[in-house]
Amino acid sequence: MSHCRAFAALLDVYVDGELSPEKAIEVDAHLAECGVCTERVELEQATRVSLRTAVRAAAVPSDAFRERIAASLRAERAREHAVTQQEATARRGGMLSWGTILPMAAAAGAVLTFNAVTDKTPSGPVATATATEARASVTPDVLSPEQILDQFVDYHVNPGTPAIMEPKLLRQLDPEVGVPVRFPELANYGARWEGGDVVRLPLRGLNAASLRFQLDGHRVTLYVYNSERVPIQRRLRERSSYREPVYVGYKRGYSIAATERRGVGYAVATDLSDLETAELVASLH
Amino acid sequence: MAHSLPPSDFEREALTHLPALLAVSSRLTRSSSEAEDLVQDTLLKALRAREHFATGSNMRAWLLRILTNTFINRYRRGGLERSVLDGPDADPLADGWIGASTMEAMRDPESRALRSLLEREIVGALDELPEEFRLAVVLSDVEELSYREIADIMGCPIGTVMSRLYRGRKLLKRRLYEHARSYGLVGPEESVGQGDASEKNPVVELSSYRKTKKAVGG
Repeated sequence: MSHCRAFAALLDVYVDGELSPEKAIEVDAHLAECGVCTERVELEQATRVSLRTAVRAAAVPSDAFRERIAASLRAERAREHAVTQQEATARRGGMLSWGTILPMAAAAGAVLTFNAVTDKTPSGPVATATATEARASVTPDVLSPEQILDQFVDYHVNPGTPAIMEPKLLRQLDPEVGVPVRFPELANYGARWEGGDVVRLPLRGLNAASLRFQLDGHRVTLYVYNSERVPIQRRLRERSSYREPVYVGYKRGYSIAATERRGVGYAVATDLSDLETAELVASLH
Repeated sequence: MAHSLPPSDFEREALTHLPALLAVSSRLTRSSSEAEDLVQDTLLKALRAREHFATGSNMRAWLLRILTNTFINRYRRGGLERSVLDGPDADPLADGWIGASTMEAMRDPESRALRSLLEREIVGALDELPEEFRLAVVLSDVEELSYREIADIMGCPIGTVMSRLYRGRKLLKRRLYEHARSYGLVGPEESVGQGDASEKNPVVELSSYRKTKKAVGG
């Protein structure tokens, strides 16, 4: 038995094929004369065969998953292509870099301010009607935060042609979104405005406005929505380093940060780091 | 439109590792939706960092390193869930409580695998292992990576990999043995003549292990 003791610790390593040739020969010799250690090796090998089979079988990629991966890689390729072209433009135009903006934003505390988000009263008769209808309808199936984030990321990746190019006309989105949609002052910091649109969520009366920017080659999509009905922070983690709560998380490789102010929710989807994204959304306060 | 850009060779090769990535991710997260998110993030990061990939090296190992780091950064800021079992190695014959015929009864000689009853339990048993052990076991026994590659992925010395594998496999076997007992595949404990006191208490029961772990807040 003391003989076995010398070999028992080596048997795993032996099966892993990581023993030195000399040691492996010694183990071979021991196995030839020891039934118990031979059985240990057999059980070790049988366990690995079963592990391989079972672990692979428990996680076979579905077709839907394969398609989702292919689509996200395709979108990333397209984004890189666009960035390359944009960097060429930016080099000529001499915009502020994102690396410069962040410290500035942090130092100033609230540089990226909204023009007027102090009240959430929708403007115009149509808006009131929509908002009332939204509140009156007992929502039978509430969208999960997961589904909403999915929708946000989908739109961030494949935005389509924006409905509104003129910042002043964003107010036209108020009725559909049910909260005021105003233009954030990102343009001073090198962010290029790309247009606004409504993201239709698959639930009655629940829409979000999307405002798209390019910031130093990164696409930034800001969503504005009724935070009472779009509880996405439940899927995100709170970051406590800001004056107001900011929630951050990832979805399908993109960072999402969200915050809320007087019933209006703001979420930003980017391919920046979660810290940068959180910083960006925190500066909206 | 830029969407029509064809996939690169890099992308095509990376996608051949999708089953391996999803398998490891699923055991790491123990949730199929989180596992899919983690794989997607991993591939996007890999695509963005592809110039750092050394052509000719093991892409699967490289992808698995990104996956592990992404998992740790997202869910485990303090590193993988630690084991409270760290310390001097247990007696190498600690599984001496299983006799040769018991071990034989747990195998299926035809398939050279475990008996199918045990095979069905194996993912559950694996998922009960502490993360550090579970990842080491999956990378070694499922992905068949070398100790060197596993050490790179887990960011630890080779000796630590060996110790995690050793302990993880032992816990796993203990669990499977418990199942074998409950299915009546093997009889009550038999002795193989290693009755001295030091071997009475060789293996940590998973349930008591978890209690200890909770108690120390690990």
